[in-house]
Amino acid sequence: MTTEETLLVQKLQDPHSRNEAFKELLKLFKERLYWHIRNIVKNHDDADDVLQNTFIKIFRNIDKFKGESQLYSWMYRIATNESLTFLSQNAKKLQISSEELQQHLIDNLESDTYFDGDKIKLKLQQAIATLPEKQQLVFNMKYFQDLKYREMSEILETSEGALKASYHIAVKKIENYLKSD
Amino acid sequence: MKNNSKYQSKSGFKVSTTYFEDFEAKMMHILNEDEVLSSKLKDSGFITPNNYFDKVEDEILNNTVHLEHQPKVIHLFNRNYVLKIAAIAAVFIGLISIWFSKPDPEVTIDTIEIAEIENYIDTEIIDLNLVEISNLLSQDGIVLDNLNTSKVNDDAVLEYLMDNVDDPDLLLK
Repeated sequence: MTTEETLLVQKLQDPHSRNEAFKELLKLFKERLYWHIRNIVKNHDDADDVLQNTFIKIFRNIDKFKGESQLYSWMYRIATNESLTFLSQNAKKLQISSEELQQHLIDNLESDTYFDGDKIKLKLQQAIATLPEKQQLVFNMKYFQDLKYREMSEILETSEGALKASYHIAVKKIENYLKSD
Repeated sequence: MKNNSKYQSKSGFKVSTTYFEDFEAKMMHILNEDEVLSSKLKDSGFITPNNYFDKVEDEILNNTVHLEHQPKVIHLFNRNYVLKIAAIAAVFIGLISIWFSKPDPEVTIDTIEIAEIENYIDTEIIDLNLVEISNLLSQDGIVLDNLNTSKVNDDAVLEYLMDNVDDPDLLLK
Protein backbone atom coordinates (compact mmCIF):
# COMPACT_ATOMS: atom_id res chain seq x y z
CA MET A 1 0.00 0.00 0.00
CA THR A 2 1.15 3.55 -0.63
CA THR A 3 1.74 5.84 2.33
CA GLU A 4 -1.38 7.81 1.41
CA GLU A 5 -3.49 4.67 1.35
CA THR A 6 -2.05 3.45 4.64
CA LEU A 7 -2.92 6.77 6.23
CA LEU A 8 -6.42 6.68 4.82
CA VAL A 9 -6.96 3.14 6.11
CA GLN A 10 -5.70 4.17 9.55
CA LYS A 11 -8.17 7.06 9.57
CA LEU A 12 -10.98 4.79 8.39
CA GLN A 13 -10.28 2.33 11.19
CA ASP A 14 -10.11 5.01 13.85
CA PRO A 15 -13.65 5.74 15.17
CA HIS A 16 -12.77 9.42 15.68
CA SER A 17 -11.71 10.06 12.11
CA ARG A 18 -13.74 7.38 10.35
CA ASN A 19 -16.55 9.54 9.03
CA GLU A 20 -14.29 12.20 7.54
CA ALA A 21 -12.05 9.55 6.01
CA PHE A 22 -15.05 7.77 4.54
CA LYS A 23 -16.19 10.97 2.86
CA GLU A 24 -12.73 11.26 1.35
CA LEU A 25 -12.83 7.63 0.22
CA LEU A 26 -16.25 8.18 -1.34
CA LYS A 27 -15.00 11.17 -3.29
CA LEU A 28 -11.95 9.28 -4.50
CA PHE A 29 -13.60 6.07 -5.59
CA LYS A 30 -17.29 6.63 -6.31
CA GLU A 31 -16.85 7.24 -10.03
CA ARG A 32 -14.29 4.51 -10.61
CA LEU A 33 -16.40 1.94 -8.82
CA TYR A 34 -19.58 3.16 -10.50
CA TRP A 35 -18.17 2.61 -13.98
CA HIS A 36 -16.77 -0.76 -12.99
CA ILE A 37 -20.20 -1.83 -11.72
CA ARG A 38 -22.03 -0.23 -14.65
CA ASN A 39 -19.96 -2.21 -17.14
CA ILE A 40 -21.09 -5.40 -15.41
CA VAL A 41 -24.76 -4.73 -14.70
CA LYS A 42 -25.31 -2.42 -17.73
CA ASN A 43 -28.34 -0.56 -16.37
CA HIS A 44 -27.96 2.73 -14.47
CA ASP A 45 -30.55 2.07 -11.75
CA ASP A 46 -29.06 -1.33 -11.02
CA ALA A 47 -25.56 0.15 -10.97
CA ASP A 48 -26.78 2.79 -8.52
CA ASP A 49 -28.20 0.14 -6.16
CA VAL A 50 -25.06 -1.98 -6.35
CA LEU A 51 -22.78 1.04 -5.83
CA GLN A 52 -24.65 2.01 -2.66
CA ASN A 53 -24.54 -1.56 -1.34
CA THR A 54 -20.84 -1.70 -2.12
CA PHE A 55 -20.06 1.45 -0.12
CA ILE A 56 -22.28 0.33 2.76
CA LYS A 57 -20.32 -2.95 2.85
CA ILE A 58 -17.02 -1.08 2.70
CA PHE A 59 -18.10 1.16 5.59
CA ARG A 60 -19.26 -1.76 7.73
CA ASN A 61 -16.26 -3.98 7.03
CA ILE A 62 -13.41 -1.50 6.98
CA ASP A 63 -12.22 -2.79 10.37
CA LYS A 64 -11.74 -6.23 8.81
CA PHE A 65 -9.42 -4.83 6.12
CA LYS A 66 -5.97 -6.09 7.11
CA GLY A 67 -3.98 -4.23 4.49
CA GLU A 68 -2.80 -7.46 2.85
CA SER A 69 -3.82 -6.07 -0.52
CA GLN A 70 -4.24 -2.56 -1.88
CA LEU A 71 -7.29 -0.69 -0.61
CA TYR A 72 -8.63 -0.07 -4.12
CA SER A 73 -8.34 -3.76 -5.05
CA TRP A 74 -10.23 -4.74 -1.89
CA MET A 75 -13.00 -2.27 -2.82
CA TYR A 76 -13.05 -3.39 -6.43
CA ARG A 77 -13.38 -6.98 -5.20
CA ILE A 78 -16.40 -6.05 -3.10
CA ALA A 79 -17.92 -4.16 -6.05
CA THR A 80 -17.31 -7.12 -8.38
CA ASN A 81 -18.85 -9.62 -5.96
CA GLU A 82 -21.84 -7.36 -5.32
CA SER A 83 -22.41 -6.94 -9.07
CA LEU A 84 -22.14 -10.66 -9.85
CA THR A 85 -24.39 -11.56 -6.92
CA PHE A 86 -26.90 -8.98 -8.11
CA LEU A 87 -26.92 -10.51 -11.59
CA SER A 88 -27.32 -14.08 -10.38
CA GLN A 89 -30.16 -13.05 -8.05
CA ASN A 90 -31.85 -11.31 -10.97
CA ALA A 91 -31.51 -14.41 -13.14
CA LYS A 92 -33.05 -16.51 -10.37
CA LYS A 93 -35.89 -14.02 -9.93
CA LEU A 94 -36.66 -14.05 -13.64
CA GLN A 95 -36.09 -17.83 -13.77
CA ILE A 96 -33.65 -17.58 -16.65
CA SER A 97 -30.03 -18.61 -17.16
CA SER A 98 -27.20 -16.09 -16.82
CA GLU A 99 -26.70 -16.18 -20.62
CA GLU A 100 -30.37 -15.33 -21.15
CA LEU A 101 -30.07 -12.53 -18.60
CA GLN A 102 -27.10 -11.06 -20.49
CA GLN A 103 -29.14 -11.07 -23.68
CA HIS A 104 -32.06 -9.50 -21.82
CA LEU A 105 -29.79 -6.68 -20.54
CA ILE A 106 -28.43 -5.98 -24.01
CA ASP A 107 -31.92 -5.98 -25.53
CA ASN A 108 -32.91 -3.33 -23.01
CA LEU A 109 -29.93 -1.13 -23.89
CA GLU A 110 -31.50 0.11 -27.12
CA SER A 111 -34.35 1.73 -25.24
CA ASP A 112 -32.24 2.79 -22.24
CA THR A 113 -32.31 6.56 -21.70
CA TYR A 114 -28.89 6.34 -20.13
CA PHE A 115 -27.25 4.58 -23.02
CA ASP A 116 -25.87 6.99 -25.55
CA GLY A 117 -24.32 4.41 -27.79
CA ASP A 118 -24.38 4.39 -31.55
CA LYS A 119 -24.66 1.20 -33.55
CA ILE A 120 -21.03 0.23 -33.14
CA LYS A 121 -21.12 0.64 -29.35
CA LEU A 122 -24.27 -1.41 -29.13
CA LYS A 123 -22.68 -4.06 -31.30
CA LEU A 124 -19.63 -4.08 -29.03
CA GLN A 125 -21.88 -4.56 -25.97
CA GLN A 126 -23.63 -7.42 -27.76
CA ALA A 127 -20.26 -9.00 -28.49
CA ILE A 128 -19.18 -8.64 -24.83
CA ALA A 129 -22.41 -10.26 -23.70
CA THR A 130 -21.53 -13.42 -25.61
CA LEU A 131 -18.35 -13.93 -23.53
CA PRO A 132 -18.17 -16.08 -20.40
CA GLU A 133 -18.48 -14.12 -17.14
CA LYS A 134 -14.74 -14.06 -16.31
CA GLN A 135 -13.73 -12.97 -19.82
CA GLN A 136 -16.34 -10.21 -19.71
CA LEU A 137 -14.85 -8.95 -16.45
CA VAL A 138 -11.31 -9.05 -17.78
CA PHE A 139 -12.28 -7.35 -21.04
CA ASN A 140 -14.27 -4.58 -19.35
CA MET A 141 -11.53 -3.87 -16.81
CA LYS A 142 -8.77 -3.80 -19.39
CA TYR A 143 -10.54 -2.19 -22.31
CA PHE A 144 -12.83 0.38 -20.73
CA GLN A 145 -11.05 1.07 -17.45
CA ASP A 146 -7.45 0.62 -18.58
CA LEU A 147 -6.52 -1.24 -15.42
CA LYS A 148 -3.08 -2.81 -15.32
CA TYR A 149 -2.79 -6.59 -15.30
CA ARG A 150 -1.10 -6.34 -11.90
CA GLU A 151 -4.10 -4.47 -10.51
CA MET A 152 -6.56 -6.85 -12.15
CA SER A 153 -4.62 -9.78 -10.76
CA GLU A 154 -5.12 -8.48 -7.22
CA ILE A 155 -8.79 -7.74 -7.75
CA LEU A 156 -9.72 -11.00 -9.44
CA GLU A 157 -7.15 -13.09 -7.53
CA THR A 158 -5.90 -14.60 -10.78
CA SER A 159 -2.37 -14.74 -12.16
CA GLU A 160 -1.31 -12.04 -14.61
CA GLY A 161 -0.53 -14.69 -17.22
CA ALA A 162 -4.01 -16.14 -17.03
CA LEU A 163 -5.51 -12.66 -17.30
CA LYS A 164 -3.46 -11.83 -20.38
CA ALA A 165 -4.55 -15.07 -22.02
CA SER A 166 -8.14 -14.39 -21.03
CA TYR A 167 -8.05 -10.86 -22.47
CA HIS A 168 -6.43 -12.09 -25.66
CA ILE A 169 -9.13 -14.74 -26.14
CA ALA A 170 -11.86 -12.21 -25.35
CA VAL A 171 -10.50 -9.75 -27.93
CA LYS A 172 -10.32 -12.48 -30.57
CA LYS A 173 -13.90 -13.56 -29.90
CA ILE A 174 -15.13 -9.97 -30.06
CA GLU A 175 -13.27 -9.37 -33.30
CA ASN A 176 -14.79 -12.48 -34.81
CA TYR A 177 -18.23 -11.44 -33.64
CA LEU A 178 -17.88 -7.94 -35.12
CA LYS A 179 -16.47 -9.26 -38.39
CA SER A 180 -19.13 -11.93 -38.74
CA ASP A 181 -21.87 -9.36 -39.23
CA MET B 1 22.26 1.98 -45.62
CA LYS B 2 23.30 2.62 -42.10
CA ASN B 3 24.98 0.58 -39.45
CA ASN B 4 23.00 0.52 -36.27
CA SER B 5 25.34 2.31 -33.94
CA LYS B 6 25.41 1.33 -30.29
CA TYR B 7 22.57 -1.20 -30.10
CA GLN B 8 23.40 -3.45 -33.03
CA SER B 9 26.92 -2.80 -34.25
CA LYS B 10 28.38 -6.30 -34.24
CA SER B 11 25.69 -8.42 -35.84
CA GLY B 12 26.12 -7.14 -39.38
CA PHE B 13 22.41 -6.45 -39.84
CA LYS B 14 21.59 -3.14 -41.52
CA VAL B 15 18.53 -0.97 -42.05
CA SER B 16 17.81 1.86 -44.44
CA THR B 17 18.96 5.28 -43.24
CA THR B 18 15.45 6.63 -42.93
CA TYR B 19 13.94 3.48 -41.43
CA PHE B 20 13.58 4.73 -37.90
CA GLU B 21 12.16 8.09 -38.95
CA ASP B 22 9.70 6.36 -41.27
CA PHE B 23 8.88 3.87 -38.59
CA GLU B 24 8.14 6.65 -36.15
CA ALA B 25 5.86 8.40 -38.63
CA LYS B 26 4.16 5.12 -39.55
CA MET B 27 3.70 4.23 -35.91
CA MET B 28 2.22 7.63 -35.07
CA HIS B 29 -0.20 7.23 -37.94
CA ILE B 30 -1.27 3.77 -36.73
CA LEU B 31 -1.57 5.00 -33.18
CA ASN B 32 -3.62 8.00 -34.23
CA GLU B 33 -5.95 5.80 -36.24
CA ASP B 34 -6.14 3.43 -33.32
CA GLU B 35 -6.80 6.30 -30.97
CA VAL B 36 -9.64 7.57 -33.11
CA LEU B 37 -11.18 4.13 -33.24
CA SER B 38 -10.49 3.44 -29.63
CA SER B 39 -11.82 6.82 -28.46
CA LYS B 40 -14.98 5.96 -30.34
CA LEU B 41 -15.17 2.52 -28.84
CA LYS B 42 -13.73 3.04 -25.40
CA ASP B 43 -16.60 5.26 -24.48
CA SER B 44 -18.97 2.44 -23.63
CA GLY B 45 -22.02 4.61 -24.36
CA PHE B 46 -23.28 4.43 -20.80
CA ILE B 47 -24.27 7.78 -19.31
CA THR B 48 -25.62 8.90 -15.95
CA PRO B 49 -28.34 11.37 -14.93
CA ASN B 50 -27.23 14.97 -14.29
CA ASN B 51 -25.43 15.50 -10.98
CA TYR B 52 -25.72 11.81 -10.26
CA PHE B 53 -22.38 11.55 -8.48
CA ASP B 54 -23.22 14.41 -6.10
CA LYS B 55 -26.58 12.88 -5.27
CA VAL B 56 -25.25 9.39 -4.79
CA GLU B 57 -22.61 10.68 -2.40
CA ASP B 58 -25.32 12.18 -0.20
CA GLU B 59 -27.38 9.01 -0.36
CA ILE B 60 -24.46 6.82 0.63
CA LEU B 61 -23.52 9.16 3.47
CA ASN B 62 -27.11 9.07 4.71
CA ASN B 63 -26.97 5.28 4.77
CA THR B 64 -23.59 5.06 6.48
CA VAL B 65 -21.99 7.99 8.30
CA HIS B 66 -25.17 9.93 9.09
CA LEU B 67 -26.99 6.79 10.11
CA GLU B 68 -24.55 6.31 12.97
CA HIS B 69 -25.31 9.79 14.33
CA GLN B 70 -29.01 9.22 14.66
CA PRO B 71 -30.10 8.29 18.18
CA LYS B 72 -31.30 4.76 18.42
CA VAL B 73 -35.04 4.45 19.01
CA ILE B 74 -36.05 1.46 21.04
CA HIS B 75 -39.65 0.57 20.33
CA LEU B 76 -41.68 -0.38 23.35
CA PHE B 77 -43.41 -3.17 21.50
CA ASN B 78 -40.89 -4.39 19.08
CA ARG B 79 -41.57 -7.67 17.32
CA ASN B 80 -38.88 -9.73 19.04
CA TYR B 81 -39.96 -8.56 22.45
CA VAL B 82 -43.61 -9.48 21.79
CA LEU B 83 -42.58 -12.88 20.41
CA LYS B 84 -40.51 -13.65 23.51
CA ILE B 85 -43.37 -12.74 25.85
CA ALA B 86 -45.82 -14.79 23.79
CA ALA B 87 -43.51 -17.82 23.88
CA ILE B 88 -43.11 -17.62 27.68
CA ALA B 89 -46.87 -17.20 28.14
CA ALA B 90 -47.55 -20.21 25.91
CA VAL B 91 -45.19 -22.39 27.98
CA PHE B 92 -46.91 -21.32 31.23
CA ILE B 93 -50.39 -21.96 29.86
CA GLY B 94 -49.27 -25.38 28.68
CA LEU B 95 -47.78 -26.29 32.06
CA ILE B 96 -50.83 -25.05 33.99
CA SER B 97 -53.28 -26.91 31.77
CA ILE B 98 -51.28 -30.16 32.17
CA TRP B 99 -51.06 -29.67 35.94
CA PHE B 100 -54.79 -29.13 36.48
CA SER B 101 -56.21 -31.45 33.89
CA LYS B 102 -57.85 -34.63 35.30
CA PRO B 103 -56.40 -37.92 34.17
CA ASP B 104 -58.64 -39.97 31.90
CA PRO B 105 -60.61 -42.62 33.88
CA GLU B 106 -59.10 -46.08 33.59
CA VAL B 107 -60.82 -48.13 30.90
CA THR B 108 -62.06 -51.54 32.12
CA ILE B 109 -64.53 -53.98 30.68
CA ASP B 110 -67.08 -52.80 33.27
CA THR B 111 -66.93 -49.21 32.04
CA ILE B 112 -67.86 -50.15 28.49
CA GLU B 113 -71.52 -50.14 27.63
CA ILE B 114 -72.88 -53.64 26.81
CA ALA B 115 -74.57 -52.19 23.72
CA GLU B 116 -71.18 -51.01 22.47
CA ILE B 117 -69.69 -54.49 22.88
CA GLU B 118 -72.67 -56.06 21.11
CA ASN B 119 -72.43 -53.56 18.33
CA TYR B 120 -68.73 -54.25 18.07
CA ILE B 121 -69.33 -57.97 17.69
CA ASP B 122 -72.41 -57.56 15.45
CA THR B 123 -70.60 -55.40 12.94
CA GLU B 124 -68.14 -58.27 12.60
CA ILE B 125 -65.21 -56.24 13.75
CA ILE B 126 -64.30 -59.35 15.64
CA ASP B 127 -65.35 -62.75 14.47
CA LEU B 128 -65.78 -65.16 17.36
CA ASN B 129 -66.96 -68.73 17.17
CA LEU B 130 -69.24 -70.24 19.77
CA VAL B 131 -66.45 -71.76 21.87
CA GLU B 132 -64.66 -68.43 22.02
CA ILE B 133 -67.86 -66.64 23.01
CA SER B 134 -68.57 -69.20 25.70
CA ASN B 135 -65.10 -68.70 27.09
CA LEU B 136 -65.84 -65.02 27.52
CA LEU B 137 -69.21 -65.43 29.17
CA SER B 138 -69.42 -65.65 32.85
CA GLN B 139 -72.22 -65.88 35.34
CA ASP B 140 -71.80 -64.98 38.93
CA GLY B 141 -68.04 -64.97 38.50
CA ILE B 142 -67.98 -68.55 37.13
CA VAL B 143 -66.67 -68.82 33.62
CA LEU B 144 -68.75 -71.02 31.42
CA ASP B 145 -66.54 -73.43 29.59
CA ASN B 146 -68.67 -73.75 26.52
CA LEU B 147 -72.18 -73.54 25.26
CA ASN B 148 -72.74 -77.26 25.24
CA THR B 149 -76.17 -77.46 26.81
CA SER B 150 -76.54 -81.20 26.52
CA LYS B 151 -76.05 -81.62 30.26
CA VAL B 152 -78.66 -79.01 31.04
CA ASN B 153 -82.18 -80.11 31.59
CA ASP B 154 -84.52 -78.95 28.78
CA ASP B 155 -87.18 -77.79 31.21
CA ALA B 156 -84.66 -75.68 33.03
CA VAL B 157 -83.57 -74.08 29.76
CA LEU B 158 -87.18 -73.37 28.79
CA GLU B 159 -87.90 -71.93 32.20
CA TYR B 160 -84.78 -69.73 31.96
CA LEU B 161 -85.76 -68.47 28.57
CA MET B 162 -89.32 -67.72 29.61
CA ASP B 163 -88.06 -65.69 32.53
CA ASN B 164 -85.36 -63.80 30.70
CA VAL B 165 -86.38 -63.33 27.10
CA ASP B 166 -88.98 -60.68 26.49
CA ASP B 167 -89.46 -61.17 22.78
CA PRO B 168 -91.53 -64.32 22.14
CA ASP B 169 -90.39 -64.39 18.51
CA LEU B 170 -86.91 -65.40 19.65
CA LEU B 171 -88.39 -68.51 21.32
CA LEU B 172 -89.97 -69.58 18.08
CA LYS B 173 -86.65 -69.49 16.22
